[in-house]
Amino acid sequence: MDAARTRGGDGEGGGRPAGGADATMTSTRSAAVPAVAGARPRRRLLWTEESRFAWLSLAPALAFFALFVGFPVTYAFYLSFHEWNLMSPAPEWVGLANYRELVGDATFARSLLQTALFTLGITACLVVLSLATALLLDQKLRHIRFYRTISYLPAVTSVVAIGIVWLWIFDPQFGLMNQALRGLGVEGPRWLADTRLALWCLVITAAWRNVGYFATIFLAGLQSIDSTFYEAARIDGAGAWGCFRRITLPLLRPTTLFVVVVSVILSFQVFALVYVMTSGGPAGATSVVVFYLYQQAFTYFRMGYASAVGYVLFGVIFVLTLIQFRLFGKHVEL
Amino acid sequence: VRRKGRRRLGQGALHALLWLAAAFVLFPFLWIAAAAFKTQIALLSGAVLFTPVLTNFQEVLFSKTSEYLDNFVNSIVVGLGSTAAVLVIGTMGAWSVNRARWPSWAVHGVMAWAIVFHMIPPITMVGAWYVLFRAVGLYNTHLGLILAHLTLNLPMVLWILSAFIREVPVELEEAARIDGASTPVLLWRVIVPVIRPGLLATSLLAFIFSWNEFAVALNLTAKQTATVPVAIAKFAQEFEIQYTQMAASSVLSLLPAFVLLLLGQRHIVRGLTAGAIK
Repeated sequence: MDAARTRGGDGEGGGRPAGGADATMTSTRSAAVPAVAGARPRRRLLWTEESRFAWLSLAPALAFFALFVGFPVTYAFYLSFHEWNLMSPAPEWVGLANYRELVGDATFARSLLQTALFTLGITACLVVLSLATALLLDQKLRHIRFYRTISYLPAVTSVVAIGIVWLWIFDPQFGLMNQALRGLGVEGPRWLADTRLALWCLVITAAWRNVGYFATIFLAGLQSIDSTFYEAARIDGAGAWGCFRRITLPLLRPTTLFVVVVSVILSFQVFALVYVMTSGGPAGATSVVVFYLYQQAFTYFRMGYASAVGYVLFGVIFVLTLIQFRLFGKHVEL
Repeated sequence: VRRKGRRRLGQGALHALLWLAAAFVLFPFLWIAAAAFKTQIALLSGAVLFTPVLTNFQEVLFSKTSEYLDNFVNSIVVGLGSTAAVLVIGTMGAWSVNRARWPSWAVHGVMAWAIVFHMIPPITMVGAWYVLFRAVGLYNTHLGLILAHLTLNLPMVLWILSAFIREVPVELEEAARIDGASTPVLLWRVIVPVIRPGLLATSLLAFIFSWNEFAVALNLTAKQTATVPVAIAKFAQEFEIQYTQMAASSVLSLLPAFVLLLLGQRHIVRGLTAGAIK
C-alpha cells in the first residue's frame, strides 16, 4: 500500500510539512520534473546510448505490468462476461448475466455491507488509536526508541499467525478473554461464534495488528511539523489542547487523509484474517467481499461470476478513494 | 520541545501509559510463545505455571510427518528470489522514470498506475495467474510464486526508490557523464551506492511482505511449494488440531520478521515514510 510522501527523513529529523498521501507526492513530482528539465533542456528521446538504456531499464518493469497485471485485469474483464469452471475447455459467453445476477445477489449485498461495516470500524479505530499512539511515541522520554520498536512489531508479522493467536484469545473455553472474565466471575460471550460479535472481533484483531504501522506514519507527520508553530502559540498563551486542535490537527490533515485512504483500500480487501479466524462464519456473519469472491472462484469454480465480483469491488474502492479526496483533500496541497 | 512546564509531572503518567500499551502489544505474543512450550494438557487446563517442554518444536521441525521445514525453505527461497529480482527491476525502472527524459505524461502514468494497482484486490488477478501458470508449467513452482510476489511488490518498490533517487543530485550524474561513464556504469557506480539506504529499506519490506503473503500463495502453490502462512492456515483447518504444535509453528514463523525488524528498524521506518506501504 502506498505512497506516503512523508519526506520527514528517517523518522527522527524534521523536514518539510507533513507528508501527505498521494496528494503531496504529486507536488514532489512536479517539483522534481522541472528541476531536471531546467538543467538540461527537454529533447525528444533519440536513439542515443542514453535513451536506449532509458528504454532498456524501464522495459522489465513495464513488461511485468503488462504481463502480470495487464493480462489478468483484461482476462478477468473478459471472464466477467463468460461462464467458466476452470475445467471445461472454453469459457462460454453469457453477456451481462453475471452482472445482472450480482445485482440481485443478497449474499453479495450482505458481504458488501459487512465489508463496509468492517472498514468503517477499523478505520475509525485506526485513526484514533494510531494518532494517540503517535502522540505518545513523540514524547521525549527515556527508552522511547524501544517503545517505537515494540509498537511496530505486530505490523511485520503474518496476518495468518496473528489470526491464529487471536482465534485462541477469543476461544470461549480456554481463551484469554473468557478466562479473564471468569476470573472476575462473569461468563463471557462466545465471541467469534456469536453472529453479532464476530465481525467486531475481526476489527479488534486487525486494529491490534495495524495500529503500529499507521502510528509510524502519524509520527513522521508529527515530526515534520515545525516546532516554531508551537513556540509561537505558547507565547500567545495557547494550552496543550489549543495547540493540538489549532496546530497539530490541521497540519496533520494530509497525513490523516493518507491513513484513511490506505485503511479503506486495505480493509475492503481483507481476506486472510477472515479465512483463518472465521471462514466467513458464523452463519455468514463475517463473509466479506474478497472472501465471497474467493469462495465463488476456488470453491464453486465460478470464475466468470468471481471476476464480475472483482470488478465491482475494484469500482467501489476506486469511487470511495475519489470521494475521500474530494471531501477531505480540499485543503491538501496538490 | 513542547510544554516543558508540566512535563516532569506528566512523565510518570506517560511512562505508565507506554508500559500499558507495550503490554497490550506484547501479551498476545507471550501468550502464543507460552503455548508453544506447553503440553496439550497444560494448554487445555489453562495452567499459568507449567514446565516448559521442547517437544512441540521437535515435532514441528523434525517429525517425519511434518513438512514445516520444507515450508520454511519454500518461504525463504520465494522471499529472497522475489526480493532480489524486484530490487534489480525496481532500481532500473525508478531511475529511468525519474532521470531519463521521458515525457511527463509517461512518468505520471507509471506512477499513477502504481497507486491504482493497490486498489485491485490481488485475488482478482490470481484466477488469471492460475490459468497462465498452469498453461506454461509455472503453477506450484517456486518461480511462479516469485514472479507473483515480484509483481505485487513492484509498485511499492518503484515508489520508495523513486523517492530516494529524486534526492540524488543531478550534478552527480552529470559529473559522471563528463568523466565518460556509460549509463550502466553510472547506475551501478553512482546511483546504487548513493541510494543504498533506500535499497536496504526496500529489500527488508519486500522480503517481509513476501514472507507474510497469504492469498496468492494459497492459490498458486500445492503441497511441495506451500509457504509458511499457507501451511499454518492449513494446520488450523485440520480435523484434529494440535494446538501446541500450531503455536510452535506460528512462533517460528514470526521469528524471521522480528529479527529483520530489530536489525533494520531504522531503515524500515524510513522506507515506509519515504514511499509507504501497507
